[in-house]
Amino acid sequence: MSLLLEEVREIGASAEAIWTVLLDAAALARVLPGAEDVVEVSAGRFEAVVASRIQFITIRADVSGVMLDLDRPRHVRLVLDGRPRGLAGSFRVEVPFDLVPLASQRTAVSYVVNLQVTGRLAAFGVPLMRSTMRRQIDQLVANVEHELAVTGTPGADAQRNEVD
Amino acid sequence: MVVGGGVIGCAVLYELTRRGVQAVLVEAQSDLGEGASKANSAIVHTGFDTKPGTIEARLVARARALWPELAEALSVPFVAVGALMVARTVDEQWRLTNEVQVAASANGVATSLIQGAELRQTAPYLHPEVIAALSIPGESIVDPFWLTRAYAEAALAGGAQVITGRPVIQLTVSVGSVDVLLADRTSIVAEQVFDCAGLQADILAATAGDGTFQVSPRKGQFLVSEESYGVDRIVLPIPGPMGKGMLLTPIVFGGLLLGPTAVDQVDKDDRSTDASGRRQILEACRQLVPALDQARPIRAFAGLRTVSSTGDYILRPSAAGDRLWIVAGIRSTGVTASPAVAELVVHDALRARGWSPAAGSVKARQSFLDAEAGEIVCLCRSVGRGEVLAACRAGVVPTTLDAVKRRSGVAFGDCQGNQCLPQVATILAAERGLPVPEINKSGPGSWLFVAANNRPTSLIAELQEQIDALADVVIVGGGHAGRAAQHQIARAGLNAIVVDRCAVSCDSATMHGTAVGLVPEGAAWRVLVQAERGAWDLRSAAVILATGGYVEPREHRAISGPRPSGIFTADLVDIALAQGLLPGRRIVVVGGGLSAARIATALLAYGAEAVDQVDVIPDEVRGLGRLEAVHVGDRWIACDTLVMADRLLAQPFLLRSLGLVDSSAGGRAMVSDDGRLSMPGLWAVGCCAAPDIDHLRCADSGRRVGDSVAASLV
Repeated sequence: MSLLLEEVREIGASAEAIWTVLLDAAALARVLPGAEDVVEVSAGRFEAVVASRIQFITIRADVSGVMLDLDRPRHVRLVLDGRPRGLAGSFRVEVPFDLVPLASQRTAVSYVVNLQVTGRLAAFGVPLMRSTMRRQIDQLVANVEHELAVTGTPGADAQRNEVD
Repeated sequence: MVVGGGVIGCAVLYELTRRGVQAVLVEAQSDLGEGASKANSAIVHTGFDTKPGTIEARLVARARALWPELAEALSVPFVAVGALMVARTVDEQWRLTNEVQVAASANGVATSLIQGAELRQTAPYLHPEVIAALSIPGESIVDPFWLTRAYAEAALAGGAQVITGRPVIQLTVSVGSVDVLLADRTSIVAEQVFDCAGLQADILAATAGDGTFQVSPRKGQFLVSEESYGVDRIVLPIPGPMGKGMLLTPIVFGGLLLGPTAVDQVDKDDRSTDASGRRQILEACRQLVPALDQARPIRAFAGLRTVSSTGDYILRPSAAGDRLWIVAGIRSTGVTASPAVAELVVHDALRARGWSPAAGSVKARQSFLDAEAGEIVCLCRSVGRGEVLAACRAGVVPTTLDAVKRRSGVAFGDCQGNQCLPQVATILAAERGLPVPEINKSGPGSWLFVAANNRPTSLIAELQEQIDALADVVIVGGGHAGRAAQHQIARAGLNAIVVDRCAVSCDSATMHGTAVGLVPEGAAWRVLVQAERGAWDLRSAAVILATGGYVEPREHRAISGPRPSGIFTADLVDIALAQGLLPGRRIVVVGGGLSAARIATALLAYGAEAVDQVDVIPDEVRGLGRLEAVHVGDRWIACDTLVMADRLLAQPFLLRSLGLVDSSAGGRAMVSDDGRLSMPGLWAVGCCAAPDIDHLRCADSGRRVGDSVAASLV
């Protein structure tokens, strides 16, 4: 595992609303960048096909996701295990999120992205992976804000999960 | 017509195509980007230090605005990593703020000074004597091979043509057209020609009677380090009169580029490297980042930048007539300025013709990998056969091994292709419908193999598909150490599966495939195996790494001279001979041990005309296309092939993603006396932990570690 990003973002929604999106598989399917198919296999566990653009190539991966260390609505750790199609190897992304309520229905979301890549993806190099991950997070934050802005609750818009 | 398939020529072709002009590009070499475009710093500069009032300054500034959209449109690997220009003295700090920062501001480039604790936190890898640094966040990196090819492939998609391997020898400019004569005596008439021939641009213009400018080469040597030592942005000193000086640049696909040197020369083809350049680069870069003391470069190369007789870009109609445009003197900012140069010259040339088509969009081919990777071809980078095949079939079709390498990423890793090139050559030959001996490394004359006298029977048995996915122990590597460990574990009544990419037979305890990943799963391990027919996961309580080593290739060593084909390691020779390919005719083998003697004997048995064995590595080589001679001690030995069989490096690649070894070439697995690694359930044995031991000691260590693993599980 290597540390790829450690950042804090502000989202224009309450911590409870953000939590609801993260823990709802249907909502997650809409906000997770590139998610093509998300199936909830049990509470807090899902399987998905996710397409990610790494600048010059779009990779579709079979992903298993799990939400761990749940402490509503303050902390959750997302773990994604994936196998890219067409490339040898695998990846594991671990992202602990901490949600801190701010004034005016805003929330500071601090997160750390840890990544382990094996095989071909490891040869793509840290600069590209960091840049890609940053774009994915930007897209995820924008999608969450949009999801919540449309109705104030998850489930309003199903058109934002395109590959960024 | 565009003459010259470097980054500038391809950018011009792209721009012409975007404007609906029917265009063709002619390149003398066998692939695009074979000149300065393949050997440069791969930086997209902000232009913070360009000389005000120059064409270069104007176009670099214009390019800054074009780049984000261009990178998106062409889908090129492009990352804004930023740069730090460092000061070690108060005087240098004064220059940073009063010269460099002022110039950057005049060029419209944002910068900020960092010092003290903030500097240490931002860049802990910098030399402790560095007292301040100017941060230039807009400085970016790109893959220059990819960029050049992406311009051309987008143009192809828009209807342009690309012709490679056909030099232009004469331009005849008339009132309404240019007659372009090729070396094969065919001619093409074009209404407008752009001379984008790089270092040959003045020679080409002279064939049309235009002798108004000259371009000369400035050689820059570079080193590549697989390990990046935490350097996450470009690090450079305060520039001198010859340019930016020696810098450290993150490579977009990982690792670091060190250099370049800067030496003016006359020869427009001499891209040789030497030990002195290597020393200079390492010394200068250690002054910036001391961790480079440990650096073990995996490659040295040299590029030739263009120095213009005018001191600036030359972008204008030729003195021979405005049907010929000169696009020359693009010094070290060619990659950066390429979109702006193309925009300007195409706009001006078309306006002179009275053509005014608006720029449209040409969509680049989208790369979308979804097919099965297939068996692993390149072990160092885990490149599968599927990727190599895709590279052989896409866009500007590659005809040489180097061209496949640049498209697929094979041979860029630690072993520099010495464990995969015969297989890549075989794939390329099959794709082109040629026998393997007709495949060249780069241009004509750079042949790689001849047919061997003896052709071995197939060594690889069928894939064992029914192997049990659960084992007590998975052993990665089926050499002496791995097999000895397996034997001891089996004696203890446990189930041990060997995964071996070179397995000569398969059974319930052997899987033919390449382990590409190790993933911890609680107290157990998952081993990811990639094989010809797909991917498998094996799970076990313990994993023994017995992945051996590889012979240190020429690219790691301080051998002066050019980089012709014909310099191989014993690993490559073994693989080639197994495929019925002889790596040369007059061969020098380096090494005094059993391995060197075995290789020398095998080469003679397979049809080599002469084999000399020497104990020490040559300090210099000669040859342009193919190797011609090597210098050993005080004599030159004429030969067409050099085989190194003298020194083994550890190959614990699987441990990199676990953080147990860094990416330095030859970094060995650090184990306890009984072979344990620092993570529970993980062991290493044989040459991947101790590359200097012989096969008997490998087997001994395998037995010992096998017993330890069995005891730990029982």
